[in-house]
Amino acid sequence: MSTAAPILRVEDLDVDISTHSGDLAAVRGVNFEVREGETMALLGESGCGKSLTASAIADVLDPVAHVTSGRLMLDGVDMRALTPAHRRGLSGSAVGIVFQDALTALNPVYTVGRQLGEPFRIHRRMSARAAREEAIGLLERVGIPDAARRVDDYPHEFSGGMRQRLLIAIAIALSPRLLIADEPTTALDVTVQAQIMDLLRTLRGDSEMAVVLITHDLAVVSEESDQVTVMYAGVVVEQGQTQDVLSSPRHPYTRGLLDSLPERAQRGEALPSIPGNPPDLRSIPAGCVYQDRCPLATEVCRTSRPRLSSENGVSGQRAVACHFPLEGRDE
Amino acid sequence: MSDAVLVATDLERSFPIQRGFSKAQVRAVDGVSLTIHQGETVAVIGESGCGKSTLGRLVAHLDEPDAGRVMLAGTDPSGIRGRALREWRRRVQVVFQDPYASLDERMTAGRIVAEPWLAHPEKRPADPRARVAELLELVGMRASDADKSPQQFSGGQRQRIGIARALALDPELIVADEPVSALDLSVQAHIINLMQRLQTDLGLSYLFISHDLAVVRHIADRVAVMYLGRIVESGPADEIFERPTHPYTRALLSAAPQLDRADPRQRIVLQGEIPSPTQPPTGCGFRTRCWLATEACAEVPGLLARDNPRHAVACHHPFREPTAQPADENRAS
Repeated sequence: MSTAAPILRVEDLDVDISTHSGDLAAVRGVNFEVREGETMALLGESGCGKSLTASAIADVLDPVAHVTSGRLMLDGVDMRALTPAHRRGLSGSAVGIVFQDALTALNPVYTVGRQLGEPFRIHRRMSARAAREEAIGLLERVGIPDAARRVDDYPHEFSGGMRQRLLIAIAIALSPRLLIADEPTTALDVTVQAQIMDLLRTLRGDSEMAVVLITHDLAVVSEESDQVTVMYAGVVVEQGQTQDVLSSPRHPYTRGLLDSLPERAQRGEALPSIPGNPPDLRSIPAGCVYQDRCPLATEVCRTSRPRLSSENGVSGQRAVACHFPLEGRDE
Repeated sequence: MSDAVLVATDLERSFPIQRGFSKAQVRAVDGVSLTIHQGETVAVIGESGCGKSTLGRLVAHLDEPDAGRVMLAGTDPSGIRGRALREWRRRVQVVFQDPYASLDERMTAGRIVAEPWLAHPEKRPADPRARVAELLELVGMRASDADKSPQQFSGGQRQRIGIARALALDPELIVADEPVSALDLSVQAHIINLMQRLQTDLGLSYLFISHDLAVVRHIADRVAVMYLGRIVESGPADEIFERPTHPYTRALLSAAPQLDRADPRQRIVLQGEIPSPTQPPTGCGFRTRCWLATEACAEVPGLLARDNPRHAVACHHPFREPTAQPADENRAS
């Protein structure tokens, strides 16, 4: 574990979504930090706010969503305190993003060489020729064979896995300090997923980037991350070292998710499932966000929202937002 | 094992595709045979483009094979029309992947569940409303949900409605194409449990098409692994998962992220991607990515041969554990 200052520190982040019927509290009070060479997984189901959190960090929020409070510290600089132009300059070079859907993230009418060269032309003010050379180097780094020839191809001429490599190439073009990977392998086949995850791990190791990995897949969290932040209905419910969290979850939601996995169950036996459905953002209850599905919920859970705390009888680097955190399993 | 509900033999299905000015054929299913017994779950696993969904459509008679045939408990459907085809479709029902696309938003849940009776008036119950209520309760919904529209339900509830609709005609076999992969993790378990309970209570057979190996391992009795339109390995689920012998099966199982693996770098990472099904490799379809491939693999495809009575593999170089004992089981299949 590195003791260096974190590359990214998210402090009390709130994100709202504007709708016809008023603002929705989509993300509330999210805190986490990531150090160099470390991967933080943001884990949760659809609508939990993990992608909004990532978009807020990368300054690519959809126009209907906006950060209403909190600080986003990148290498000690509060991104939200900067002017928009200044912020774009910084996040454009220091933060790389890889999205889930590589085909829609690439522009179909430009060659990949032009798209890969763009960061160099814009942020480094390189000539088109120099940028093209950089693009070829990038293609080689992300494992695209015959890079000098393929640099002039268009996105549709690449397979799904190769397109994801192209996105990764663009994301790492300017040697970012922070890489945000939003479900980078969800749209890919299993054997290609493994290739992409290997590539991301290698690149992280080479450059000591900090990585924020957004995923709904517990197995991916287990294999690819050092730390995990579990989100539910816009708030962080549990946080800690990945293997600690997965081996002895303290929040009933984390525990419920793990128990419902077919991997953990006896073949053919009924899976212990979490009752109900994730809440609608329009109807987040007062008190604990998980109360309606929680087997342990009592009156206090209906009225008071538990704070994410490492003092709720949880030791070490663990934090849990629960009035009745579970005991460790292995102690 | 009890009687076969469905026997598919040497199925072939190609689709013409046009790319620019050139025409080509995609061999989506290329000589696939499959047997499903009563009360059994057979899973077909494989990556996109391997032909598993086309196989499901052939089995459900939503599409016709170019060659080969599908027999449903004694009937031969080749060229069947009218009443016989309707009867087939009654006995084999489909549950689709996307519960948002597969339910008509303008209908109430009750009408959705009752709709199959329009095409099959012979199965229309004397009291359709009561039967709809019964079906909804069977899948864990309330009778009063019949009057609501799909927008009022979550993804998991919608999938329950889709299952109730499939059950309206008392089918014997349900083809479920990725039935949980569009659902949130905490909801997937509900649907898996429901499908297992229905199987026990109603004696259903399932053809379960999926790319989710953990789900398949949990519910399948037998597994067929497809690659480029062919079955490369098939056998009892526990054998396929614990002693895979085809290199592709081994790579596929090893590549999938696992919750409890010590070190992800131990996995087999294949080079390259699945070749285009318009131009499959000669010989064995997997040889271009296989680390064991030899000259023979380029010439002759591995034939699906039986390792033991229930486990078949199509490979010239199948993996054998040095200490493996052939499982001697008395269950005849």
